[in-house]
Amino acid sequence: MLLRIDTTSEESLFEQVATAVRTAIAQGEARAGDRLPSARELADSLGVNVHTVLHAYQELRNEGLIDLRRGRGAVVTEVGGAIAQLNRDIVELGKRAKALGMSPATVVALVKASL
Amino acid sequence: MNDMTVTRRFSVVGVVAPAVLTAAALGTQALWMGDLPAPVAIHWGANGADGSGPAWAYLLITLALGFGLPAWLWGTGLPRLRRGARGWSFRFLAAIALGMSAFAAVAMTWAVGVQRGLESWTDAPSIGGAFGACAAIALMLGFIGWAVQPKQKAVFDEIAVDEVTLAEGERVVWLGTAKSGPALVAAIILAIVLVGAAAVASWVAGSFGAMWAFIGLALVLSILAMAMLEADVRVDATGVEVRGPARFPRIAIALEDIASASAINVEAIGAFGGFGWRRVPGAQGVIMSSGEALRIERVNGPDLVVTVPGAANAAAVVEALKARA
Repeated sequence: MLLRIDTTSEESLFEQVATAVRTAIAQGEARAGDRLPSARELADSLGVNVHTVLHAYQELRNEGLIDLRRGRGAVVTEVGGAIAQLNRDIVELGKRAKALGMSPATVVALVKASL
Repeated sequence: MNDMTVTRRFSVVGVVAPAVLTAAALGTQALWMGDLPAPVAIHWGANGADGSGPAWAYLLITLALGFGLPAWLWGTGLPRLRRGARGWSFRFLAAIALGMSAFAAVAMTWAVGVQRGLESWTDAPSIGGAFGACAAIALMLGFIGWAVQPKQKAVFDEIAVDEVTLAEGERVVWLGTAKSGPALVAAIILAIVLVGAAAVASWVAGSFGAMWAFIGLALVLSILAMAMLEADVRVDATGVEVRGPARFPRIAIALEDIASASAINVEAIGAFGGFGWRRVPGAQGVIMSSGEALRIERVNGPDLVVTVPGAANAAAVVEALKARA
């Protein structure tokens, strides 16, 4: 699982951490039941404040992607696993749209309309 | 030494010589079968023979002990060597195979030989001294078996490393988990269950000393298993860290101590002689499975090889961090 954030970006750090973890889950790099690193550890590795990571984890928990349990840390939920499957469908969708010669803008518009 | 020599000497030392020794021993024992008491002595204590069994048990033990490992080397080691795998443990296992089969052949044949013409197995003379001599012969043959084989430097096929570029101000962490394969996990659990059952059996039998010994063994096995089965790998700006559950065992290498990172395919048995946290000449290994592994070459010191899924990605991150440092 590769997590990267950009300190020069306008986006807040906690939002970037959440996005990075979300992407990892969606891409199936962290699967349902997998344990994420502790907030302390991730904060040290990324050189950010521990509260930034906790904030990101709380957001992911509110989205239902992870469970935060005392003693066990952050664990990817079944919902998180299901999203990885959805991402595989999206990749497939992208391939088919490309094969049909559709423009990305059209595909995005169609997907948006379906939501 | 060329490649043919490695394979040829491995098969002579590890397979052919043990086969010849075992066959000779079996032949000799078979010739003597008619002259033995029935049953024969098969176990000796401090006061001479104290256990008996059928004479064919010797043939079976000679075959199992003398040709078990060689057969395995023949079936799995040799094909792997032919496919280009190399590692010190091939050489080591072949030498062990020769020593073991020499011991089995000489010791078992000796134990049969001294019982020819006896009325009863209880008359069997002590064979302790002969066994000592056999062990010495086995050790000597093992050394010879090691010496006549050429040195094997482990070869790994490299896996193409992904490309990761880091911008100024970007922070990155790569996290992975090295896990054991299901067969290894099953084997370890089985071992623990068996030891646990032995503890219960000792308790039922009223042998509390044995019970505690088995409980202790089960605990040690469990702890070893925990350390053996899983390890977390982390790559970040400080360097690379590998650690077992409960943060032990642990190996950390600072980024500035890393010469290079790459991804390789590892043959656990061939290159590291097995699984777990291992040390072989030139490398430390955290080997949970065969396959994809991250290799860190230190500026000074042995390589670190960790089998972990996504190793190519991890190696790329290390290289990107180094390039920016």
